[in-house]
Amino acid sequence: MSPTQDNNPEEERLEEFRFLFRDLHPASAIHPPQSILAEYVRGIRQKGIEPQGWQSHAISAHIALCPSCQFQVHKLRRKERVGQIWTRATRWRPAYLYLGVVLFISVIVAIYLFPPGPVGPPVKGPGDVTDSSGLAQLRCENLLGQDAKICDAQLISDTQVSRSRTVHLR
Amino acid sequence: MSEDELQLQLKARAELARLAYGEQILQCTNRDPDEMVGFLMLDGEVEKARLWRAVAVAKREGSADYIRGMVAYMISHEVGERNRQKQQDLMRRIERGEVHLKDLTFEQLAGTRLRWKHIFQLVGKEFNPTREKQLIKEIYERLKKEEELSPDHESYTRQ
Repeated sequence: MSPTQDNNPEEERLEEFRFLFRDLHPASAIHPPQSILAEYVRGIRQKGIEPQGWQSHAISAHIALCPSCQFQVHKLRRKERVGQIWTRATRWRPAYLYLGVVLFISVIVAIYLFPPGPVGPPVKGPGDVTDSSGLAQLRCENLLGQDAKICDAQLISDTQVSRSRTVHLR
Repeated sequence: MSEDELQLQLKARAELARLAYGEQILQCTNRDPDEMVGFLMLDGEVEKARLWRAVAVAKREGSADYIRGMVAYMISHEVGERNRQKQQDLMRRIERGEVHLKDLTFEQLAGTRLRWKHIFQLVGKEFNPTREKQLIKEIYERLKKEEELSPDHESYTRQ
C-alpha cells in the first residue's frame, strides 16, 4: 500500500518527539528478576489496563532497551518451545506405546515364522568346480598345514574328476 | 539503600511507566490520559509525561490508527540498536499482512527501523504523518496551557 500523491513522508523523521526516548538508561539499568521474565515469556500477566498488565508492558520496554535481558528472554522462549514439544509428545505417549508393543510382537512372530538361514557364502572345499577364486586352495595351505604340493595335486585331480563328470553328464 | 539508588529506582520506574503507557497507546488499551497526569511524571519529567498524554489525547480526538502508527514508527527508530535480521523479519511479516498494530510491542519494534511504507501498510494509505504530528503538537500546547492555568495541577506545583 502506498501513500497518496500529495503525501510523501520520507523526509518526516519526527525529530520534535525524539526527546521521549532520550536518557532511558535508568530504565535499562535495573533488571527484573528471572521469575518475572519467565512470567512474561509464559504470558501469565495479560497486557491491558489491569494493574498486572502494566508489568508486561514495562518488561517489554525494558527488554527492548537491555540486551542482556533480551538474551535471557530469548533463552527462556527457546526453553518454553522445547517444553511445549515435550508436552505435546507426552499427550501422544499411549499411542507411541501401543505402536511399540505391536511392532515388537510383529518382529517376534516374524522371527518364529521365518527363522534365518546360514549367514554368508557356502563353504567350499578343494576340488569344488565353482571355486574360481582359489579360496579352497588357500584354506588347504593355511588351515590344514598340509604340504602345498600334495594339496595342489589333490586339487588338480579333483578338478579333473569333476570336469570329466560334467562332460559325462552332458 | 542510599538516596542515589532510590533516585535511580524511582527514575527507572517512572521511565518504564511512561514507556508502558506508550505501548498501551500502541495496542489501544491505554487508560484515560487525565488519569495518568501524576503517574507519568513521578520523576519530574513533565515534558515527557505531557507528550505521552498528548499522544493519548490525539489518539482519542483524531484517528486512533494513525497515531498508533506514528508511535510504532517512533519506537522502531528510537529504541534499541539496529538489528537487520529482526528488521527483515518484521518487514516481511508486515508485507504479508501477518502483523497488526495491536500485536506490536516495544520488544518487537526495537531496532527494526521501519520505513513509512510499512506504517502505511499497517494503518492505511490516507495516513499523513506530518498532519498527525501537527495535531499532537497542538494538543501538547493545549495541555501545557491547561497545566499553567490550573494552580492545583500536579505538574504546576512541581515546577
